[in-house]
Amino acid sequence: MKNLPPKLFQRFFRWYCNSRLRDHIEGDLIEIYNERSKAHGKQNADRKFVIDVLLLFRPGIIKPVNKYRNSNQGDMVANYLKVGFRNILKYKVYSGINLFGLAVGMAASLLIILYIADELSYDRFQKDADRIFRVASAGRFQGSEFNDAASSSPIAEALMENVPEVEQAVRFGWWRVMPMRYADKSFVEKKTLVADSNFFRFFSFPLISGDPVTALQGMNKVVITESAAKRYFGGENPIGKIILRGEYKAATEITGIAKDPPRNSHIQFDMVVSGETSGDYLQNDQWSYTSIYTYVKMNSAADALAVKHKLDELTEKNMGPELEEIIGMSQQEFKASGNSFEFFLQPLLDIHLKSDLGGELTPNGNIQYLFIFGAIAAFILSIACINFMNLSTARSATRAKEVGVRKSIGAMRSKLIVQFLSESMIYSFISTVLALAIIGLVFPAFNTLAGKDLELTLLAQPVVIISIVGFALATGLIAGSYPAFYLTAFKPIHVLKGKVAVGLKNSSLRNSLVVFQFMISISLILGSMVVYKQLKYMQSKDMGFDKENIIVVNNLWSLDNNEAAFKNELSRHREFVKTSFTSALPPRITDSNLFRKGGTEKDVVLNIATVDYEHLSTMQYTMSAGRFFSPEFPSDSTAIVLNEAAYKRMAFDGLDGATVVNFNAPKPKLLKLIGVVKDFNFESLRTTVKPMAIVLGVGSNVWMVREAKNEIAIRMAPGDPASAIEKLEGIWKKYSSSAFEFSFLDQNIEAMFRSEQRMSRIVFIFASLAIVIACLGLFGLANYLGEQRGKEISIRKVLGASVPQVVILLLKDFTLLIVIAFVIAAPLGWYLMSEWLDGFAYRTSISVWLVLAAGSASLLTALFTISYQSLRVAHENPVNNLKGE
Amino acid sequence: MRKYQLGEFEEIVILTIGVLYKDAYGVSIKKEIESRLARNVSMGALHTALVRLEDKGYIKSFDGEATEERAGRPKKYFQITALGKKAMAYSKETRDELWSAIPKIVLEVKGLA
Repeated sequence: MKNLPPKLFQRFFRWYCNSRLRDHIEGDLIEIYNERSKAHGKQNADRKFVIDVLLLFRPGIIKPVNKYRNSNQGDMVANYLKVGFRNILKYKVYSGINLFGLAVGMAASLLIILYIADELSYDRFQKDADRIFRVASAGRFQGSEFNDAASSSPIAEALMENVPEVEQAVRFGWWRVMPMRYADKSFVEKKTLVADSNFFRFFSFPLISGDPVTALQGMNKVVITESAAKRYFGGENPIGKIILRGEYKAATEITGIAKDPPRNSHIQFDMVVSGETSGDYLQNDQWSYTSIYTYVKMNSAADALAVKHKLDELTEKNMGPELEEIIGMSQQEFKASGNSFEFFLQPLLDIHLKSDLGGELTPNGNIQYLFIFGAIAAFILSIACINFMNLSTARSATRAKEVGVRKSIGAMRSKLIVQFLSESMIYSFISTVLALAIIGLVFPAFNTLAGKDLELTLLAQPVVIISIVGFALATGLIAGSYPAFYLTAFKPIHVLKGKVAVGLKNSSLRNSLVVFQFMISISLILGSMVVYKQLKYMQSKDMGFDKENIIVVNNLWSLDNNEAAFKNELSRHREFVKTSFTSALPPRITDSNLFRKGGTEKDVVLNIATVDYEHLSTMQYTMSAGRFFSPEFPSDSTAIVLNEAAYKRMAFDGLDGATVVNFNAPKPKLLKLIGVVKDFNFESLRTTVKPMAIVLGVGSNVWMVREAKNEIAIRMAPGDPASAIEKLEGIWKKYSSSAFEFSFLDQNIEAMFRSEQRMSRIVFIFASLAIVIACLGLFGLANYLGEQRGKEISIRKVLGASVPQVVILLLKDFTLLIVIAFVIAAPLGWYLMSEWLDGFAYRTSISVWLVLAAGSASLLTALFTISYQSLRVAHENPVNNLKGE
Repeated sequence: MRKYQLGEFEEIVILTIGVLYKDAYGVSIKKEIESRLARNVSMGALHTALVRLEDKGYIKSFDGEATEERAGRPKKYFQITALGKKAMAYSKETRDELWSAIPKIVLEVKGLA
């Protein structure tokens, strides 16, 4: 019986040994083994065998790492590139589809990445950004919640004195309308801050000239931005010059020029006035009067919790007495009735993306959108990559021969994989170049769409360039991996014999990829339809008054004493049906005050606007009870009109003897309720109509809110507004020396929907992109399958199939796939869109028809895409395909 | 004059191949060296030397028959090439020269000179 050497070690040897030497050495080993085994026994022979094998494990004997010496590296790569390019050129249609699809996908993804990167970059330029927090307010009163980005003046000092963890604090107020004059230049500045003197030391807004420490010290000092300086002073040096501020033309000295605040800062300004200038603003000590913005810098971000606790203590200590004074409730009573009021801290870096309080400085982004867009970008790119994979594998039969030949002359599978990967890299890089070109073309439109002002040069930064290159590499790898592995798995013998299965019809992977693509497309189409519908609904919703034909003119204050004369003259022209002066118009009636139902302890927060007698007829609100203010009743100066929501909230039951008390004035003011106006939307449609009040803008009512000296509403006669506006401008210039600024009320209201409009446009664009790419892929696939099934179709035709029958046959398969995609996408899309719609108090519904419409739309598009191919194939002369048989 | 790289063990191996003439293959070389020189020769060392000698061109190989003792693996026979002979000769000459250059007195040990 022949003994056999230990199998394990034999296998080990066979594995590591150079194949040149393997057999001979193995033979020697076995020969010796047998001799030893005879002479000294199996155990001895085994042991010595093992030793020999182990000792043979040395450099001369082991397989070289590179089995085949790569002496031809460079040449091979050149060959791959050459073949790759030839393939691209030979099949221009497929290559074109692939390239275009990939390029579009990449362009979309890159743009979204730019957008996301920009959104994430807000406020990061501030030194110590992670230690800066904003103090904001929130609370609950009489059942309604409120929040505000603003805080009150005494907080900053209180924190600095009592909380050691707070290193620095700064406050500033924001004047949205501040006329400024220098020599003959006069503008209304919309972004004027009035700030504590340490503003430029706290924040990183560098000064081009002027001393950051002293520029804001003292009264009547202002620092202006570079662009503001250009506007007023041209090329002159503004430092030291006097600019006239406000209605009363206060002389203010320019003490510094600041660089324009960067775009990605949530704090924007054109001018910063020194805090001491406005005594009341920053110096008042009312804790409950939230009118300014407070920011604090802590020793370390971890102190936030401790600081919040101390802030709560301070709030309680100081608010208590104030609450008693204003509302007449003690702190305990206040809390017991379910109310609350607190100040809280927001990290600076969270403000832009996560903060959505009342009174934000500048419109914020929304971190949800970032996720959504990121997801969409990923989807679009994946659709493009899937296309690439599908098309490449579908066309595998054409490359099969090449693979077979290469393998038989000695190519290793790994080399072939490298070849195909490098081909897809070529595609990827060409697509990247195309994508960059597309981005360049589309950039301005992108900026408008995204509401941003990015520059193309952002792309030229090294970080961006590196990531684009990495991106291209990654896409090439991912998209090319599957085809590379699939194509190189062919056995040469099968290929050369012609037995490569045309198993393309039923490739389940490919089919599921198509389903996935269409799933995404259908969802996006559905989303786009829903957003559009909601938008249309909001735009056409009856707001409770006639918003057409109303012009809003600003700078009412500049009429000074000419108000009456102005109104009079306007009334003499038939174009101007009615004119009214007011403190605020929809959609921006945001001032609010505390009011109490007369004779009770019931307090409610009401939004408030001050108006004149003509307001009702100008705006065409409808009264549902009582009457509006009228010059016939002099007592109307202490009258108040509520909307239905307020009336219900305060639980009035009749106008007789109904009174409302307002506490803003030094002495509580008693107002007689004379009428109730039907609810109208004076704010965004995201909320239901809040309770509001209207008073005449006279005398002591000024304590409640601004005077009715803010905006002019003019109802125009229907017809072409252009000539009427010209006339209006002429009249305006007679009575006012300020610029004539106007807008249309219905456009202002529409502007409120800006974010929804933007969303609608974006989703629409993405939906189109997705479907275009998916259809591209379908086109390529259909084209190819049409060719492959050529023989089958010809035979069918010969056997008597008619053209329609053939077409239906070809369409059937794809239709099934799309139906499956629809079945999956419809519930998913419906669910997601319902969630989105829930964010609106006033919303449309998603009907079954809508969903079906979305599905049919994509089905039809897909069918249209493949119909050309199907018809072409169906009409082909069968002879062409069967000639070779 | 060319330099012929020939290590000590390699020299022994190539000499043994010469001794065995047409019968030099792995196992036989190993046995011959072991019996003549009374030293153990591991397969690893031997085959490495053989590979090196072949790479240098001093020996060449030709296949022999497969036998049952070798479980069907063929033998590989070696023989010395012309280059190999030159290398051996060079080595022998240089050794001899050195030997003759040694003064008699150093070598007064039994068995030498």
